[in-house]
Amino acid sequence: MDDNLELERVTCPIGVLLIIFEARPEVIANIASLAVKSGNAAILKGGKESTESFVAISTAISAALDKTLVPNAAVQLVTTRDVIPQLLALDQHIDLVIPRGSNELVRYIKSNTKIPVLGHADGLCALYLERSADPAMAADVIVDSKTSYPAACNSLETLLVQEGALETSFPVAAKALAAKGVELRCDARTAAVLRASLPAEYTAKVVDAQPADYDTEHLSLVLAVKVVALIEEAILHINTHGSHHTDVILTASKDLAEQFMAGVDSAGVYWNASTRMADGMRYGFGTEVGISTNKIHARGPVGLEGLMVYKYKIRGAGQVTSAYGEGEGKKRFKHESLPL
Amino acid sequence: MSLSNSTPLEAAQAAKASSHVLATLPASARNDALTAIHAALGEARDVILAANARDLEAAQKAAADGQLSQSLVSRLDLGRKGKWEDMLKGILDVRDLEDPGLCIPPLAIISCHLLITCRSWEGHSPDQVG
Repeated sequence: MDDNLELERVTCPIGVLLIIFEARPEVIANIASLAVKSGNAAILKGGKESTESFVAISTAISAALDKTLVPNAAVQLVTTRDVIPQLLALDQHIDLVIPRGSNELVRYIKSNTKIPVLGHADGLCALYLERSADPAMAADVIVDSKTSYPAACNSLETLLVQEGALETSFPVAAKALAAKGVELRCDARTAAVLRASLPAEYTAKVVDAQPADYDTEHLSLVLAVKVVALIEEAILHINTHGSHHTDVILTASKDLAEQFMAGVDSAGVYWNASTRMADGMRYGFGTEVGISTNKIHARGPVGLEGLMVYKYKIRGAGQVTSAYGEGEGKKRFKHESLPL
Repeated sequence: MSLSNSTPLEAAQAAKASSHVLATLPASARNDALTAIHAALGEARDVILAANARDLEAAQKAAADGQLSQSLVSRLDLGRKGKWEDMLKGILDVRDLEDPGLCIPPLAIISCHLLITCRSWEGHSPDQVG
């Protein structure tokens, strides 16, 4: 900034994390590790069903920490019942809430706290099948996106089919989906195409869609299907009905892919790849704290860096702001980068 | 880790105070703590799995009465094949990660056809900015 006035931005832990989770007892070991590694304190509140497991795990971890430099109170398991509302009110002491559990839990937490929440309530992922996409590739990607783990947040829920793909790649993909037991909730045009083209054994899988199907995270072998005329309509549908999690375009056109990836307002926008790629391990982050659909701080799959923030350090020699300015006799800030 | 029956406020205050200590510890001290946690859990395996079995038994009763879903019961089970080992290995995996900074590794290859790159916003031409 000026001679003997140096500004530096450094990474630091966020502070105190509140992790609220449901049944999974292994979360406690996982979160305790992530917290210690990232230098954050953590308060853990688990579901009552796994209390005995939590107590046993915590006792072991507590004894281990006693022999280390990490303060024992840095990781706390709260066993008191029914205290979630009180914890969520402690925005002065708790810096970030990480929910690990059902959508209902996340939604409840998001609407009941002033503390920032790292996570997402919904994963309503969509895929736009453009006419130039290779049919075999399209079928593979769509089947993986829908069926490899239907209950996951990064599973496909809505298939948008461009008119030009209705008679070509779409029936190939639909047949592959039906063969995997997927129920296709179709609008009138896509239903007509499938009823005319699918083998008789699969036509029972074609069901007329209700409007709500395009706003529903089915989390099961149910897929909403809709025809769209052009890419703009697909982008508009996704930005309006989606959950800003992960959305895909299948196309051979680089230009259309770039248009889609720039225009879709989601944490993950993919070209010719499965929605199921949305995962911290698959991204190579080494771990996953959660997947965020927030737009401030961490977005998408979040690794350890999501538990970090930064602060600014200034090393000066008594400088004051009134000495700096545009007028005569005033000093100017240098704003030069220092070598790292 | 403390097992806290204290009030939420007390727990949060203690956590806050500890966070200021923890934030200044060197990476070696934090990694040593993870090694210690891993060892302690390994030694307490039988005790923990026995406690988990008690949770599971109670949950199965509740599920039979229709008070709990079967999927929740299955998520509760630490004794399921590979789960315990995964849990322990996860601690060492986290320990061996690089100390976290804010930047995602600039170029990470996650499979032969998939690259992750950090690109600055200036890298986009204006007509691509959505």
